[in-house]
Amino acid sequence: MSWKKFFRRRRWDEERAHELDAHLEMETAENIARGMSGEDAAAAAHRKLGNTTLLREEIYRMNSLGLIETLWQDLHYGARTLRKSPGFTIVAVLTLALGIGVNTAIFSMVDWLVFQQLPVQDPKALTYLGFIRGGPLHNDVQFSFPEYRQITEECGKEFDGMAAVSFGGASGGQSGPDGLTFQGKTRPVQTYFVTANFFSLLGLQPALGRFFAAREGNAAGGDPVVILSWEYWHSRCPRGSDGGAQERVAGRLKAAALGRVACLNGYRRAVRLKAFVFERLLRGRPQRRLVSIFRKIAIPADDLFANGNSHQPLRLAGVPGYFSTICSHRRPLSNYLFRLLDQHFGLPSMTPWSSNSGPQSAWLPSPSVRPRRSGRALLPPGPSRSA
Amino acid sequence: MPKRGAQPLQGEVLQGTLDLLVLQTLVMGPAHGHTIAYAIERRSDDVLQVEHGSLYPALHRLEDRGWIASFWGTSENNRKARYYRLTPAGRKQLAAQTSRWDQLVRAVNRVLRPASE
Repeated sequence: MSWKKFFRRRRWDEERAHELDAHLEMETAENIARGMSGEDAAAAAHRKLGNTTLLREEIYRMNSLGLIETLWQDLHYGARTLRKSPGFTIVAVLTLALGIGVNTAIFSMVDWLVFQQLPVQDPKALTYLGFIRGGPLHNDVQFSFPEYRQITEECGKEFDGMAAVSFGGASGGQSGPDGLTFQGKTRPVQTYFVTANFFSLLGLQPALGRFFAAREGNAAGGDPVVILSWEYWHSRCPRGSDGGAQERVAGRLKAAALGRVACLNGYRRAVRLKAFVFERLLRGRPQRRLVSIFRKIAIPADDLFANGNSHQPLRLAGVPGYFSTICSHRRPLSNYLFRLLDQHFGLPSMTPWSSNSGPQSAWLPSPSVRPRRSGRALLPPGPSRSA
Repeated sequence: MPKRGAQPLQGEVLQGTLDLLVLQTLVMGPAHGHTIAYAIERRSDDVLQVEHGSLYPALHRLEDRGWIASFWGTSENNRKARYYRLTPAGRKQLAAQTSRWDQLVRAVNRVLRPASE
């Protein structure tokens, strides 16, 4: 019978009632046969059997889960008690609400920071390279553009590809916010400069238009192209109250954006930029971490650096060529790479260290080393250092 | 929540004994509750008075454990009655409980009459 008995209590109860009745009849009949009168016989039978209701209840309880049976009563009792003392109720509810809210908020943040993967094609294969070189910007100074060039040449076999990212404008600190002129209005934007291969390396698809072509950024000022983030695109495309109006506005903006109407910081003496919309990497999902990496606008970095601004510090993001998962092979990769870097850039006492979360990072702490200022601008005189 | 099955040790022992007696009675063949009660009394020379009321919960418990099975039949004087019969699992259980009972009796006897051993 096992657990099924819990669902057949009523039927069982009827069965047992019949059974007890049968027992009483038999006993009464025997008593009569022993010479008792009818009434006496029935009473004696009842006495002998005991309280049949109690017996049925005992069997009924065997078929019940006591917890569930009494839970409803407990709930009622609890509700009555709470109603009687509203002050306590309010305090309790508020405490619970605050506790749950705080926990939810903390979890959302941890989820966003730690557990969410970058919405790129192969987030686990992504590695950040960085050097700690001492100085005021000791854990944020990475590479100069010539260094980036050299590393890609020397260590190219280590990676599927290597792209560089640099903060521009609003987050760069040295030049204040950039402004994007769009349909006659200029608004501050945060910009990032990336190498032309950046998007293809991450395996992203644009929502509208295209990303940088491979040849773009090779000649100084040759390719005034910006990529707008989905977020930014929508912030400058006011959503109408009804879907139809919104679609019309989006259509106009799309036509405008794909033409030449945007202009960054009067870039190239107001040569108008081509603007393309990127992101919407995973359909229907809002951007999370990627938004914080290139939040507003991306510009081909080669263009920027070829233009003489070679002191801009760069972040390098590379995809290792022959490792499907980076976890088991990250360390050997780092060691080899750092050995190469050691040979080429002369950075002694290198100890690779890997972070567990987010894009895989490989930092190289060698704080005692002073940057070499001579030579082919191998090291980035960071903004504060040159100041 | 009321505690169930938390009876004193003596009650436990008696309960187990009733199970054993019921199982043993059913070895002869299927029987209904009334017969079982009287069979136990008769075979113990009326020393063991089965409380008829406690018999039915015991029967239900044994059936729930799968040691006996029940069916509706017609009694010797042409009444409908619920019959019980021993299942193979019940037969095994009877053997196990009987040997345990023997052990218990021997042990108690050893304590009560150490000299006679």
